[in-house]
Amino acid sequence: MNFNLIAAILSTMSLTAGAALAAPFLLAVYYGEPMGGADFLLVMLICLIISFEFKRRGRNLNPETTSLVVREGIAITGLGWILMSLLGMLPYLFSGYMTPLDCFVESVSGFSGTGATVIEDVEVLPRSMLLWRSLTNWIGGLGIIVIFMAILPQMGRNAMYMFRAESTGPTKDRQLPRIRDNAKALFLIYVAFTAACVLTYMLCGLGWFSALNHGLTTIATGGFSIYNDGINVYNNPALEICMVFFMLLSSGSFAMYVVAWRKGWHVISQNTEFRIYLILNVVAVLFIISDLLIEMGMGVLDALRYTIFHVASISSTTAFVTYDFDSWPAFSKGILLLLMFMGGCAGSTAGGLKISRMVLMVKMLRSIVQQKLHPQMVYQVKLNGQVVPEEVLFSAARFFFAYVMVDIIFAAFMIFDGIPMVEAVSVAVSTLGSVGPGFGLEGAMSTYALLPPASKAFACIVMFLGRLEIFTVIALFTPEFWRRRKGW
Amino acid sequence: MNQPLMMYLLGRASVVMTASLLLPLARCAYDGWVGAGAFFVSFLLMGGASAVLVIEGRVHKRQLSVKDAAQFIFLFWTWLAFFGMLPFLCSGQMELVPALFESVSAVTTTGVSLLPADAPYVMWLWRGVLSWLGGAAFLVTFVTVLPQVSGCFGMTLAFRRSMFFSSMLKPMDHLSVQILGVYAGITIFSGILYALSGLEGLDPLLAAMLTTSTAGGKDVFNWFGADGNPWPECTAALTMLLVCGNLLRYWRTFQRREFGDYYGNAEMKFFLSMVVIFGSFMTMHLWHSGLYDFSTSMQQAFFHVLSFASTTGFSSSIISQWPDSERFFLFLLAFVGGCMGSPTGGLKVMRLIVLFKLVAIEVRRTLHPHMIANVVVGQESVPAKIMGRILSFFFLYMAAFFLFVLVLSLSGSSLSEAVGLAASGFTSLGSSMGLIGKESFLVMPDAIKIFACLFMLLARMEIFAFLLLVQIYFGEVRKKW
Repeated sequence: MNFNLIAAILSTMSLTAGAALAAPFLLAVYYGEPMGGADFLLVMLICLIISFEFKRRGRNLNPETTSLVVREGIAITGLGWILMSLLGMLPYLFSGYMTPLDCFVESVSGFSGTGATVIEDVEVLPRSMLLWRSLTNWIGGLGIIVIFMAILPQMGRNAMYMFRAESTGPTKDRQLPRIRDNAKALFLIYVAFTAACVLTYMLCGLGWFSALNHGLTTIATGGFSIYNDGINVYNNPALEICMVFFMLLSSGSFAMYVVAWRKGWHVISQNTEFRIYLILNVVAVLFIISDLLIEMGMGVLDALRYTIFHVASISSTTAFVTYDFDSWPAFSKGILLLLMFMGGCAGSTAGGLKISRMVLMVKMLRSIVQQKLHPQMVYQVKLNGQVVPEEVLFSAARFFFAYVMVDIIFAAFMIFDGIPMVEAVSVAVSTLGSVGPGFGLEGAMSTYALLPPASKAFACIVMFLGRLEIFTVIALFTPEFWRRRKGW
Repeated sequence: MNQPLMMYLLGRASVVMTASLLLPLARCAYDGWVGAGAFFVSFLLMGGASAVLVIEGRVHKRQLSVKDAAQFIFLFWTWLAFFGMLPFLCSGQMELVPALFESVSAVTTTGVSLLPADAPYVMWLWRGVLSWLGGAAFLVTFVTVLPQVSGCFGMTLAFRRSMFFSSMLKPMDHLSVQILGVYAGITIFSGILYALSGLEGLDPLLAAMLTTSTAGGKDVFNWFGADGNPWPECTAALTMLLVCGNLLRYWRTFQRREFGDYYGNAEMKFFLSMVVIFGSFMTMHLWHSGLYDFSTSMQQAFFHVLSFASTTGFSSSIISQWPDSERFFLFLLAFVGGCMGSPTGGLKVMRLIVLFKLVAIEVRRTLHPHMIANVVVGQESVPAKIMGRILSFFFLYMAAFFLFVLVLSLSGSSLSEAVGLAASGFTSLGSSMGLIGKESFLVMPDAIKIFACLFMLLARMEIFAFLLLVQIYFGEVRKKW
């Protein structure tokens, strides 16, 4: 474990964090917020100092030529995320609005794309703080490592391990031969989508600040809003439809968009995963609308509007909310819970189990059925036209088991902490899937503010587990990981 | 479809089922023939059917193909369910759908009952007999037909290569006799202990049947906790513990006088440690929460842990008033179940052991991606193919469970109640609904009850058989293969 190398890279990350903080700082200056401005300046200073300290350890090391091992890649990714979360919590801390634990939770919630806030009244926060909140969502959405690699030139061939440690989904393949080109392409598409989203919101009637913030969190499928009530304050169906479009857009694999950019639109329509994702959404909408009409007696237009919005919102794990779906009948809530669990496509900014894994597991079952009936048959599972090796199938199923286990353990912990059973389970599923709201206490309109401190702390760990896909994070916690000796 | 073979096998089963009606008939005779009409009619109907089946099927192949096995499993369970429904229906006290539900609940050893509290004793007795038959049915299908149909979801692990499964009838018969022998033995042993504990009349037999089959259910006759007599509870606990082991392994151990077998022990060790850990934890927590004093806490905790882990579902106190964490753990225990080769429900311990070990290996694999590692249970290593199968089975189980929850939630109950009901049906436990929701199955619309029956049966068939059937019929419709 080459700690010096890790330090060198982390120092650069620190600098980047400082640079990212410049945006809210400038905003604070623009709006004349002395306290906000001072806070951010202070944090930027701290970033510089930390960067310096790390650099001292890692001097004389050129990241491009020193080779990484898998372990170091994972360490950098994991530590990088923790570092960013810690640096990200400092602005909240210095402003004095929240307790230290709350600051950390808010920061982790932002970067992991969960979007469940612990702040009880967001509207009293200065604008620079609100912008920073939305920025944490945005940076964490695509991934700290990806953005890092896209902007900075130094990585060389070591980038691969870090890239793989952070990217989501059962297969970690790439579209372009050089990792750095991949990262750059992804980043460009990400920025393009964000810009389009912000412009569209402005056209729908939002002010530039609101449009910017909501645009940032929509494409990141995070869900932070600058209003306590979310976008409900606008009550604007046109806005909701635009949001639905962008949320669904962000739930598709960004790698797919990169390929589509180079090869044409047909790539998107041929992508099995995205197709299935959209079909699932449509089916869910149909089921829920029927349920709402029959059991709740809602009007057709209302049902259509709310259902489409919430299905898209939940399945993309964004979780903007315009109606207290806690009052919906059990069947609809069950379907929403299922959508929360499944999440978006692999390689998108959405969380959850990922559609591709569900598809792979269903196909695996089918292959077993066929093997039983026709033992001599050779059956191959295919996804997106490519044959999937057996190892990938196994790993998808293993991940499913681990995912369910983490949900159960977290729920058990919360129940032990005093939270009622249903709330605990829904918060567990929602947190691990980076969604946000749950049912009950922490229901559609509520926040994490009501969780006891131990559960909040555990929630941070679970949010990491969800974003970095469990095994990476667990590996960080094993003592074997940190041994200095080269070798096992 | 291999008609004669199906009919022969069903015919044999029907003969056994007809014979089982003799016990309630005897009880009716003792009672002055009150309520015997229902049983007489059932006897005649069933006896006639058995005769027809056996005669029609007397010339048959001696081997079951995979398709035959899948069809047989489905037909067998449905046939058993319909048969069990007859006395309830003929007695005139229940309508068609509730009678079917009651029968399915008994046969799948779930133990949820729709019988009113003042139903005649003979009805409860019949329910007990049905449960016992259901447990026996599960064991028999487990060692004979299920290995073929179920994609080896870990069964070959629990049963090492010395016990091979064959698709020929004679070896199947041998295995069935062995496992049923152990089953009957445990029942008789339990019955004797119950009689010694103070239960009277036919109660020891009824209690033994309900406990050994892990059906359980509401304590209608106040066996547990009455008059401060702890012995019935102890008997129940001991029986449930015995019944959670691999019954076939008991036979082998007994036959060969080998008492140090490692493989089976791995499962049992895990199960026992689970019981001890959860029991101790609950004891401390219950005592701490002030509900009971220490000795009562220990008694209640261990009794309920065993009851839920064995998916029996006997309950001797009002567990809906227990703290949330206790209820959640009991709920989870139901999903674990007992060892493979026991009549319990749930996922089965063996599969969970493999799954956990797989996760542990995966964690190490993030550090060493090219590592080759093997899961070892007991002394044997698990082949990769079986690991894949077990993983798939877990997914199938969870998916089917959630589907069940969704269907139940259509009935107007809240989500948590739907989950409780689904859990009780799917893990064949029955008391899970007492944990989470207050509602009983009584108020559900008939359509939902029928779905519930289907899911309870699916769980007993390990779901996969049903998938096979669906694929077979679709395949035939499309005229491929």
